[in-house]
Amino acid sequence: MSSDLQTIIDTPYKYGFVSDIESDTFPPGLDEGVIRRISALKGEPQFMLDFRLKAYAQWLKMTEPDWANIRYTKADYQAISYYSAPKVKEKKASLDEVDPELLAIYEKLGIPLHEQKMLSNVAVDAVFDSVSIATTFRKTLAEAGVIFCSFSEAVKDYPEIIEKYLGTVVPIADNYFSALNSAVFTDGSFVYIPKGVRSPMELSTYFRINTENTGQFERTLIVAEAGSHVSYLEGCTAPQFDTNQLHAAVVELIAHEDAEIKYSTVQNWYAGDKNGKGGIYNFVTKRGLCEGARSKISWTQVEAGSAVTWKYPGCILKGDDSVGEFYSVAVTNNHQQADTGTKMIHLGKRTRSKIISKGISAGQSHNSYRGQVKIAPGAEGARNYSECDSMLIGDRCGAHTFPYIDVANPTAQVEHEASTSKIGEEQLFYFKSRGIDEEDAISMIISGFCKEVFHELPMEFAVEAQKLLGIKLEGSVG
Amino acid sequence: MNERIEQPEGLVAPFASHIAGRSGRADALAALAFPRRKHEDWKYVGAQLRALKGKTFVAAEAAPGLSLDALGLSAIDSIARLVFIDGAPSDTLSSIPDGLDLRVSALTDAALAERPEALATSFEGDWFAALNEAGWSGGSLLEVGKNTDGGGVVHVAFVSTGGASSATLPRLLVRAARGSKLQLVEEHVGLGEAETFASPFIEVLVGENAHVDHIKIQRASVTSHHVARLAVHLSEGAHYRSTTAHFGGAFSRQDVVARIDGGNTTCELHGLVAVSGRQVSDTHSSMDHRKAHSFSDQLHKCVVGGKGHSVFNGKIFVRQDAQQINAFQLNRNLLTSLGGRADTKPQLEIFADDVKCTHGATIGQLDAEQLFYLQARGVTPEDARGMLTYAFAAEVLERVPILSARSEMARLLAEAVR
Repeated sequence: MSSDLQTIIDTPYKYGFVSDIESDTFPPGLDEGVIRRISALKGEPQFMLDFRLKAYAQWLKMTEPDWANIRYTKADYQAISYYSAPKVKEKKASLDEVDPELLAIYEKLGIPLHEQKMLSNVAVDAVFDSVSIATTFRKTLAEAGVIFCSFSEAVKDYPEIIEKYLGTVVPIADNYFSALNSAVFTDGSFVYIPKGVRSPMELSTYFRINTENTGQFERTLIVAEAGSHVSYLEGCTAPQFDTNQLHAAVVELIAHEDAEIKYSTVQNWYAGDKNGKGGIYNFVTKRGLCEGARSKISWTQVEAGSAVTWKYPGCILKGDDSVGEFYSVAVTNNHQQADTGTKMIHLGKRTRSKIISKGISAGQSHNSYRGQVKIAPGAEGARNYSECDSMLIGDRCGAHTFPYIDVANPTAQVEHEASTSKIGEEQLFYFKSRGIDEEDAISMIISGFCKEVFHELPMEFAVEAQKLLGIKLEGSVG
Repeated sequence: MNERIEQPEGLVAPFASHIAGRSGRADALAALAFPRRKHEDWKYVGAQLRALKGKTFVAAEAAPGLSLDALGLSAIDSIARLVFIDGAPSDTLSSIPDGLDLRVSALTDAALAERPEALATSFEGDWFAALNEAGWSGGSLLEVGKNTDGGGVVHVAFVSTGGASSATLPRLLVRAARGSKLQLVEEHVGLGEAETFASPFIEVLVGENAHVDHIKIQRASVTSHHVARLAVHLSEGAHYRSTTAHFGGAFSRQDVVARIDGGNTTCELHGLVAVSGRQVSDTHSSMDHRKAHSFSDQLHKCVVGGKGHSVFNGKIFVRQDAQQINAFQLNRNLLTSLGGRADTKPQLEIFADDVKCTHGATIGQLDAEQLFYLQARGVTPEDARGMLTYAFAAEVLERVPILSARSEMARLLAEAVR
């Protein structure tokens, strides 16, 4: 039965194409001059330049981490071009003025911007390479007082908010990649939800990596004031390239008293070909701070792409009674490697966290869950529940679990469960004896395996994610 | 010429004469750096390592003229007793009756050289194992012949008489030949309050279809440092069941590597840790499934009181093509005081798909409702806590197949959690 699945797995990358748009690109290399140029080009205030230079100085002192269960050729950071912007002549007043070629790409990806405006209640801030092109639904959001714009615009329009929060959740020196990102990031998204406001719609950004050899360094900052609520979606697809591309994003979330942030990701970047050639390096630092009492941050991710993934969205539960959640499905196939998980740092009293992680490995891939649950001495009555399940498809792949549980308060209750198994012959037989063919049976079993996570995704994403898993694993079970 | 790394003299010097006699082993030790907190396997006990590194120990000298009663050994219903006083086997205190199926002899470097590669490489790169390999003395070889039943329990006791700053490197190689059966109780006893250092290295070869039950009771003095290594090798059809209980030591650390090198094998590594005061106990295990068709089970429980600290890192490896593996692991920690701390890291590394592997870990306190239930029936809060704590830990003891060892461990546990 392995051959059926193999054919499905081998389906080539659906979104692989290179769009031919003229780019304004820096020559490869990184030094202080490049950072000053990025900052100047973007017309940034002094504090931003200082932040970048401080980060660069820090980065020079650091070494690339090697503790993750991944093997890859380290990127040559001097061979990367640190700035690439589609040439934008002037500010666009409407979608009609946007480069039609660019719009066609979105069309291919299934996100027709103009239709989306009418059909779905989703505002899309499309990040094409490094500069945001168009932002829709700005007006509706503005009426509610929600700020949703590109990071560079935010630096110009709301410098005081940026200055107050930038680097507070993920400090410059947090890790090698966050330091690099802090030095060279070109754009990203910024969301600000004022006190007591519930965002009238789900906010969504589609990321794309274009232009060969351009690392993309995104920076996202979401600030939810007391009593506010926002749901943010992030989805990625990328063209097919041979050379490895580096993606080192930083996402910072801040939730004040009673605020709630829900952050969902579907990641499907190019994973390299069948032999493990090419593919994206995805080294992302995502962290949320539950600053206020009773605040809540929830991460949901479906990780299906990238050659190498290194990503641990975490929550610092500082406010009393705050809640952190992490729901993840990570699928690896062929030679993909994923080392992903979460960190839940319990500082406040009665803080709660929940971790549900599902890993599926097929082909010759390696999938690791790495998580930390830390209960500080002051986190009285803290509660954590973790569940990590792995499924293996094929006998040449690996599934690994590295949970760290550190408890320094006896009133805390921490539970961790993990299992590793394969799709049972009996389960398949059960389906087949009822007239359901093997492929459908497998897809149903896998959907069932991941159900708890898909339930957390917003509707559109859940559908997309389920399809994605189907495509990724087609032909691999047997 | 290997680059020589600076070694903690206070730990190495007591064994210098033995190290000098084993040049290959000495070079291997010299090439290894003493572990630090930065090493992943030592990340929770950095302070203990630093303390150990700074100490100056001296070679232990066996105290003469001790009577068996003075040793305070556990009352094990055994057919043979092997006693080591401060690292040296004692003929007067040991008792190996004639006519048994087992043979005890002095361990030699030649006997160690015959170990299968898979056993000999269990602790490659480990500093304490390298120290023992280079500096051990007075070790014993315990053998059970082919298709023989050991006839009862062998009680092996390592006694530290508490000479100030004394250090020992006990060594024991156990060979259970094909189809044999062996029940072993290994006990570490510390007399007095002196700060001592012991790094025992025990190796167990479980031959084809052999059955070995191995109980370890660690009750070193509460000021001592106990860093133990246990390597087990299982052949086709072998059964190995072990339970380790740690009660003593200011710092106790045990690393177990079980290499399951055959099908139809069963390997159980259970553990019980009861620490209080400022005791730190760290257990690392590696259940290494290298061949298809095997079963492993591990239940590790820790009771942490006072300002105690327990650490557990249990790895389960399933190698490529080792299909049809069932591996289970559960680590449960009970924190009974405000200053206690528990760190746990269960770990699965699976490279085969037809497996069933699970692990679980919990850290928590006694259930308030259960305490209330007992109190409502007239049990004092102290007694209620004691009963529930004992019941929590006793689950491990139920797995001890040697009854006399089980009741001794129960007694020690009751003392420890009181």
